[in-house]
Amino acid sequence: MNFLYMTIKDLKILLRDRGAMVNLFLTPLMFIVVLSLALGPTFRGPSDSAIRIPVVDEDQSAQSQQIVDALKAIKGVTTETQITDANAARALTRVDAEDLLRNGRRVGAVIIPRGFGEMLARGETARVIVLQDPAQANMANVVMGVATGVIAQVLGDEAARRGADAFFKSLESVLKQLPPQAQSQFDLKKIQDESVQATRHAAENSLVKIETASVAARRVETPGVYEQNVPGMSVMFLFFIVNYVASSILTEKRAGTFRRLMVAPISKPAILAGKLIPNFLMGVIQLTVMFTIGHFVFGMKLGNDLFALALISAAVALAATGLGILVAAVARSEEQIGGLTTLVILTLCALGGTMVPLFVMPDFMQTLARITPHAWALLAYQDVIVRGLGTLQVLPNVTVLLGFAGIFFALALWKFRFE
Amino acid sequence: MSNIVQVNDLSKTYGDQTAVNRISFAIREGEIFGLLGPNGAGKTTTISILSTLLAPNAGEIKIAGYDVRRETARVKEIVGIVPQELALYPTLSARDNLEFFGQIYGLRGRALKARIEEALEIVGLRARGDDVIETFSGGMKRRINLAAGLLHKPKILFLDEPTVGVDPQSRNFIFENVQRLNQDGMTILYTTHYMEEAERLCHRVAIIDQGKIVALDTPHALIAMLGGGVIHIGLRESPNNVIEQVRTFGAVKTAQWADGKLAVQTHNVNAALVGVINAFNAANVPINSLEILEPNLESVFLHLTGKHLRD
Repeated sequence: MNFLYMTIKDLKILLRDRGAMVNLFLTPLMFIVVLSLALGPTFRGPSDSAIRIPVVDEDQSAQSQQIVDALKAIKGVTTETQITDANAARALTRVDAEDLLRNGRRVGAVIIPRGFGEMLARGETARVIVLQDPAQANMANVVMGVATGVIAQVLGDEAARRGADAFFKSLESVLKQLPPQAQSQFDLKKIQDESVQATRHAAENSLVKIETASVAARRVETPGVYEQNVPGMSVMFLFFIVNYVASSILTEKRAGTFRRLMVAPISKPAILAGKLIPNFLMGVIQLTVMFTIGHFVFGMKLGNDLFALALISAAVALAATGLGILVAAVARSEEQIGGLTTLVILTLCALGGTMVPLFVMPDFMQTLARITPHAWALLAYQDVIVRGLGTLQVLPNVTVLLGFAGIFFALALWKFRFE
Repeated sequence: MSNIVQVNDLSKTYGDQTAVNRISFAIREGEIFGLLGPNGAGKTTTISILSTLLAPNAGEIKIAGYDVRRETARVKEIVGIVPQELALYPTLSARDNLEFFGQIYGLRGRALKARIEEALEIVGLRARGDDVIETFSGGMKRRINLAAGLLHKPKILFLDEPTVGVDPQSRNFIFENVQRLNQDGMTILYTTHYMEEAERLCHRVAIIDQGKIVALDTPHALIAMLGGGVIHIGLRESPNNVIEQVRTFGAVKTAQWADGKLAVQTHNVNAALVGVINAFNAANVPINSLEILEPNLESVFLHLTGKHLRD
């Protein structure tokens, strides 16, 4: 029971420390707001990331429509054939497409010029124009690639027919030298059609056929700006409790109150529990307040499993408190606590993805991030709030966080000097 | 009176530093026992060991018959401690502090509230009970520090330099509190480096220096060691014939030569002084320095250790 009285006493002290309240609650909120406003555009959702290609069909022939339809069918590409002017939609023109590129709003466009279909019918080389913004060469090349691929696919039949035509013209001149009776045995038109059919069939059943299969990656969805910053800043500032845990223990030792506790009929584990529980509770309260504000003020999603969020919060708060006791066990002065917590907290935060989102880090950094409790907590939070996962799916992360807490406590007990 | 504290051959070392060196003493039930010595003499280490905070390297300690090393829980219930530091939570009120310290000693509910009011009454700060500690003066903080050690009504109270940095008014208040608690039957172990406090409050005093007890008796008996006072005469060399002559004077109890100084313990300083100076003049031995020690505990300490208490 004594640890309960210690908990109440430490909570009273912490709640009266205005500096601590500002650091634990107001500062993370300020960071969330500023970072979210500053970095909002870099966290666009998946619909914004599709490539938009203006397509101008000046020919309006069956062949040009085939190309437009094929472009529309490509996933990840949004074709724009219309533009809205004064609230009325009209067909996109070449001038419109050029304006879109000139204003930097698009990186490439496809123009199908008038006469495209007729030239194909006459067996002449028809042109398709791809407009490109040279300043966005990489993206413009993607547009070029898309256009080339579609044209090759759509005009494959036409190419096969032209190849067959050339062959049958020479075959026809040879046949003409045969006797009429023999000539009647050959229905050149039928053979020509069958040949084109066979060519198409062969193309469709080529020796190598590339098939696509979708594998739903576990983390295909990336967080939005608040889904990154609210958990990120909350976890980052949660670990500031390390400083308060360590300072609170050192202050008690310096003031002599620790000596009073040690000579009172209260066990050593109860003394440590009495220092741990209030800070753990404060950490959980801090996370709860941040997530509540994140949801109701910033519109951050909370996912479908609040229990999972509570479980992650409890586990990461325990890890942060454990780290605080460990710092108290190894530090000898306020200065050492200040230096050590600044170094440890900021390094872990930077590495753990609370400052820079994990999904933008290179692979080796994402792997390295796993040495921090921050990364495990952050990924678990985002599994719940971004990807809609539940308690069972985040249990491995929670277990790792509890492992961190266990290691911190074990090391702290080993190093802690009660005298 | 039976002994409530019995210490035999107690030693404590920190690395190669000996803080307490084989000390033995007993505290009788109901007395105020003083540990008098300069800073660093080993007083706080001794109290820390007696209050179970530190483990000794050697020795046996019993408090109310309980072995301090083996029956720690029992000892903790009997002992109260008022540390040298202001061991309080400065952002909490006096009542909040006392409530917490009472709770960890197992006090609850009405009994706890009653003891808080009683302790505040003892130290004369009941009216300021709801004020935050950091708004108190140094003396008032010391008094709350004392109150926190009284909540569970300990049989023996350890007071470690309780008047350091305290104004005269609060110091007197603390003296009166200590005497009243003792009159009510509480045994008190009082450490100080102020000889006036030891003389005024303590029934018996152990003089401690460099981890060793160099004298232990009532203040009266300790002062009586000096008789009517001591004359310290600084000389270049030991004039054996003059020292022998001085020893024959009626007002002189003893005369000891050590470290370039002749210590003449007298029955009456004034009577001995003239004869001693004449003897050296007659022998043509120059006197380098002359110091007369009044008969008090400070002089006793100086006489026994060659150092001042506040060195």
